[in-house]
Amino acid sequence: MQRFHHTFCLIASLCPAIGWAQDSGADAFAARDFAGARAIWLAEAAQGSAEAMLGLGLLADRGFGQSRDLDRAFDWYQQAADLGLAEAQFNIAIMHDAGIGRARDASAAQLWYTRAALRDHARAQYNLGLLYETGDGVAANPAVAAHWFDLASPKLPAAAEKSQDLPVGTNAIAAPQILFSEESVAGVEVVWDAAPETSATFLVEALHAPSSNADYDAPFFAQTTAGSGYLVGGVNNALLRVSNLADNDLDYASSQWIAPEGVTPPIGRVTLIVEPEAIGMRDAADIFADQLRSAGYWVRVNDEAPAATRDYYISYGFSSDQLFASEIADYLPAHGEIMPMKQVAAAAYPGEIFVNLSALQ
Amino acid sequence: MKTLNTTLMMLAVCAFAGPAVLTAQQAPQADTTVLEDAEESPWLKVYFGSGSATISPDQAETLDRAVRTFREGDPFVMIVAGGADKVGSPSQNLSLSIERATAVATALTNRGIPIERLQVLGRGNSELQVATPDEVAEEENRIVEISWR
Repeated sequence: MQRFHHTFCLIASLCPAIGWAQDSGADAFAARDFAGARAIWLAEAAQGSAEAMLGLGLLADRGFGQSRDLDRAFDWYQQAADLGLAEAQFNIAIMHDAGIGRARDASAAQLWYTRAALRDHARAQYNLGLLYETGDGVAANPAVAAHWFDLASPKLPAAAEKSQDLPVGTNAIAAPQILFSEESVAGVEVVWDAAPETSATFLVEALHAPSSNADYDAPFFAQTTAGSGYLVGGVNNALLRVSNLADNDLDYASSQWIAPEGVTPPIGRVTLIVEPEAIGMRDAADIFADQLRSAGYWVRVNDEAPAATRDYYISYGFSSDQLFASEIADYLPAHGEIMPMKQVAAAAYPGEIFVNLSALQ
Repeated sequence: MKTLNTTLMMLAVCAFAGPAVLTAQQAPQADTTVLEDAEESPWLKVYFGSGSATISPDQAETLDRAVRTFREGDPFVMIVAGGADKVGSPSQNLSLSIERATAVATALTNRGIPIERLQVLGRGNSELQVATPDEVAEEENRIVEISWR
């Protein structure tokens, strides 16, 4: 068997010399037929193959079969990276991070490490953790660093050691700054910058805008992560937002909405709860709803109150929405001053208010 | 991890005279000089205590720096070259240099560098950074150099 293997290797290594065509760019490369690999990969790259683009990048990067050309390598990696190939995204990140063939650009490194990390690239997760751990050109955020080290831990023992030593848990928050977002057939990808020393609880919400004057729906996707990016599969035409939540769940700070073209994001979401049997309550709610909608809010009118909102006329889920709730209170009928209440177990998303009209009676 | 150690140690036993080269794979050999591509060979150095092959925590940063320059893909090779100062016998120092290089190689694979991308060698007392008489403890010679191409 071993002899057969050796014989096979010998024949394979002779292929380029005697002019046999290689099946693939990788085969040609393995046989050190760099011209052959390049020809195959160029043809495949023209058909949109990201792997072929990566191969062409590697040839230029190392100068195999051609003079070494870091700019050309970078261009090929970039094309493959834009198509979502994690290895190429990682190489782009490294070139930005180490300043190979260009000035160092830590923000670009952060973005491309994150995009590769979202595709389970363990070394990208580790390097991104190092960026956040040391604050090397980006904001130092130990909690976010710990998240990326955790994800890399199963594959990289060094990451497992790192993640144990990092402090987590803080109530400091800051609006995440969106570095990148893209909607593709795969879904929506969003990458953000975590501010220094802030909580690493990020709520990613994706929702569809209601058609005019219709009730809004709850987010069809809402997930928290301790990382600095997210890939949401099967999403299209969605509004997306990332909120940094304090670890005590009291406060939040949100990014701007990322909205499809022509869609106006809400300035807030208001759920009006009515008692179906109460005469006139539904009609009153519809009038309030119209007023609020024309003021830029998304509104829905529900028959049932979530338990957390049942006892309160106006309630909110996060302390950060107290002022917003007071503004809504000014819109609504009341005998005397209304004190909006914080829901004990929050039923509301950030920027969402519940108005339980039956609780006013 | 066990595989790495086994592989490296198997290769290590073959080498007891002169600089020992341990290739973890048959790397692309068209251009074999370590010093080419000076732009990307900053020769990171990991320092060791006298007689020790243990990587101290303050040297971990150097290893992290190394993995942040090493790209993904078949042609790239990281060269890990161990050395020793001239305290002790040449054969002891060759062993020590191999142990040091192996420790660094292990730390690099722990950081995700694939073993087949590593070339590990022990130089013993050859190619010293600082030429010294025998039995001189010289920190600059107790190093593992990391370079890549």
